[in-house]
Amino acid sequence: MNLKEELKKQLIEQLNLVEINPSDIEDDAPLFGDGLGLDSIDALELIVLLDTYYNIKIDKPEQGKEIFHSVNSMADFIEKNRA
Amino acid sequence: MKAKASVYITNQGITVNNKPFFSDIVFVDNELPFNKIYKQLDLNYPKYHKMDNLSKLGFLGVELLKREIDLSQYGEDRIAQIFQNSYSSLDTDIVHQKSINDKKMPSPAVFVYTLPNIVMGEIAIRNKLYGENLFTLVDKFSPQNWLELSNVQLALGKADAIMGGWIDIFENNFNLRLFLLDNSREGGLFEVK
Repeated sequence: MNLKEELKKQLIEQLNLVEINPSDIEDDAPLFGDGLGLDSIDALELIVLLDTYYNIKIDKPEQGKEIFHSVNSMADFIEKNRA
Repeated sequence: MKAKASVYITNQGITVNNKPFFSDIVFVDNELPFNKIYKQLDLNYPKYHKMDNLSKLGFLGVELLKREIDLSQYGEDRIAQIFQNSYSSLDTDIVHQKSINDKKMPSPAVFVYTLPNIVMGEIAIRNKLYGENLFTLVDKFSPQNWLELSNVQLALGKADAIMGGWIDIFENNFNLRLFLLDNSREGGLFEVK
C-alpha cells in the first residue's frame, strides 16, 4: 500500500470518520473547511497521528496549516521527515 | 408537574412517551446499542461518531424526543437543559487515563469529553439551543430535586421549557431518563420518575 492510501485509512481511523471511505478522500482536496470538514480538535489529532504512526513531531505549530492542507501535503511532509 | 414528553434509554430497552420504541433492536449485555439506534434513526450527523458514549446517549435521547415534540415552538434561548448523573464523565476519564498509563500520546478528541456537561454542549450545537444549562452530580436520580431545579428556572422566567433529567453511563451500564416540560397551563402527561 502506498503512503497516501495508508494515510487515508489512518485519517479515517484516528478521526472516527465512520461514514467516509478512503476512496472518498481526494489526494489534493482540502482536509479542513469544505473538504472533510475537520475542526480544531481534529487538527490536534493529526499531530497525534504523525507522532503515533511516523514518530514525527511538529516543531513549529505555524507549519500545521501547510502540512495538513491535504493528503498530498501530509505525505510530502512525512516523506521528508521520517527517519 | 408532569412532562410533555419522555424518553428512556436503558440496558432494558427504549421507551418514548411510555411506549416501547425500536423493539427490534436487540440489547446485548456488554455491547452498547447506540450505533444501532443512530442507524435506525437514519441520521446524517458525522460528528455523532466522534462523541463519547455519554454524549451519544444524550444526543440520541433528544433525537427520539424530537419525534414527539417540536422544539422550534420555543425560542432558541428559551429551552434550558438540566441534567444529573452519578458517574460524571468517569467512563471517558478512564479511557483518557489508560492512554496516559500506556505512555501513548493522549487523544485530544477523548480529552475534550472528560467533563459531564459536554453532552449539553453537543445537544445545544445539534439543536441550536442557546438557553441556560446546569449539570449536577448526585448519588441517584431524585425526580423531586430535578423538578425543583426546573421550576426555579421556569418561575424566574429564565426559560419557557426544560429539557433534561438523568443521564448516566459506566462500563456499559447506561440509563437515560429524558423529559421535556414547559410553563404552559395544560401541563404534560408523563410522570417524571
